Amino acid sequence: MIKAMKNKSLELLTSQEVRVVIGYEKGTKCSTRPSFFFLPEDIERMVFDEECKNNLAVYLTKENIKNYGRLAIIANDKTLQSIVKLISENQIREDNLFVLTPGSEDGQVIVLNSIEEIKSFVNKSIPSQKEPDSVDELVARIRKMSREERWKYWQDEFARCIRCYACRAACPLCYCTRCTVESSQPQWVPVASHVLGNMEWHIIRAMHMSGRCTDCGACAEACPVNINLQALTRVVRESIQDEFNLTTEEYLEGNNVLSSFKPNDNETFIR
Amino acid sequence: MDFEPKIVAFVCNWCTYAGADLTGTSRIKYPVNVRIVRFPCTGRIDFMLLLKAFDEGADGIIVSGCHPNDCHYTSGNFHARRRWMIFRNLIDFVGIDIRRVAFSWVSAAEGAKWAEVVTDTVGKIKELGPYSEYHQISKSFDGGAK
Repeated sequence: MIKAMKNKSLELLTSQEVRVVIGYEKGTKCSTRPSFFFLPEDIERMVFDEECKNNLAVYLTKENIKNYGRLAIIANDKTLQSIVKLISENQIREDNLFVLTPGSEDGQVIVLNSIEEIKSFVNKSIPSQKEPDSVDELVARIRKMSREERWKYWQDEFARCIRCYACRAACPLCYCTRCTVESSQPQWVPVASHVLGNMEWHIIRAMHMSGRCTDCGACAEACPVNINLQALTRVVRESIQDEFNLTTEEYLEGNNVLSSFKPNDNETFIR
Repeated sequence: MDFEPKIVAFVCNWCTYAGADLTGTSRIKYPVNVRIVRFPCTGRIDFMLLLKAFDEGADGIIVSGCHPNDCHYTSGNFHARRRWMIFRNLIDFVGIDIRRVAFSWVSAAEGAKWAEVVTDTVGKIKELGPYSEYHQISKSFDGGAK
C-alpha cells in the first residue's frame, strides 16, 4: 500500500496539482510522525502503516498551511471523520484538497478530491457497531462510582494537568484562533496549573467540543500526563446520542447539536 | 447559627425576572437567600457562569427563563435547554453536585411559582449544607481570600 501511496503522492507533486502532501515519516525509535512533503524527492521518506495514528486533519485549518492552496493529505479513518466535520463547519475550501486513503483491497489507494466524494466514502466506511474499548470501560467504571468518588477521581486527575494545552493543539476541531482560556477581560479561567482552573478548562473543552468531537482520541494521545481526556468527550458524545438520537452521518454532516434544536427535545429535570 | 445558603439565580429578562417582580408586587414572601442576576435571555447564560458562581461561593444555583415556545427571541430557551442537557450530564460525570443546580421555567405571570421554586431550592440546599467541596478548591487557589 505504501508503494501505491508514494506513487500517487509523487504523481500529484510532479504534476504540480498540489503544493504539499501531508503524510507520515519515520520518527524516533519505532514511531511515526507527521511530515510535509514539498518536493518529489522528499517522497522517499514517506511511510504509512498501522502505526500512523496522528490525526493529520489538525493541520488543515492552520493559516500557513491554508496559504499553500491545493494540498494532499494522507488520511486514516479518524482523519477522514475529522475532515468531514471540518467540511460541515465550512473550514475546508471546496476542491482544494486531495485525500489519499487506503481502500478495502490490499494495496489499494483511493483518491478523493471533492467534498461529495469524501462524504460518501466516509459514510460507507463507518462501522455500524463499535466494539467497546478501554475508554468505554473507564467511563463505565466512573459511572458506577458514587458522586463523591467521581469528584475525588477527577480532582486527582485534573490536579496533574500542567495546562500545556497539548489537547487543544492536537485536536483538529479546536481551530479557534482566540480561545476563551486566553481571554483576560474578564479572565474566565485562572491560567495557573491549579485544580480549579484545570477543572474549568477541561469542562470548557469538553463543552466546546460537544456535537463536534469525532472521538479520534488525539487529545488523550497528546496529553503528557496521561489524563484520559477522551472519557470526557466520550461522555458528551454519549449523552448527545442518548438525548437527541442522531445517526453518525447526521452527527458528522448535520447542523451542530448545540446550535440547533427541536421544540420537542425531551428533558426530565426542568421544573 | 443556622446555615443560610447563598443562592445565585440566573434568570432571563422577559419571563422569570418579570415573574420575580410580580412575586414582590403580589406581596408573596420567599427566602432572602437568593441573588438574582438578570440576563437578556436564557440563551445568554453561558455554562461558565454557573461554574463561576460556585467558585465565588454559591451553595446553589437557579437557572430560569421563559417556557418553551414563549421565548422573546423565539428560540433562545430551546438552545439553552439543549446546552443544559449536555452540561448537566457532563458535570455530573466529573462529580459536581447537580442537585445544587435547579432549572425551571417561570413565566412573567407566575409570581407564585417563582416563590415556590426559590423556597424549595433554599430548603433543599439547607439540607445539603454548604458546598464546601467546591469552595475548598477555590480557597486553595486564592490562598483563602474568599
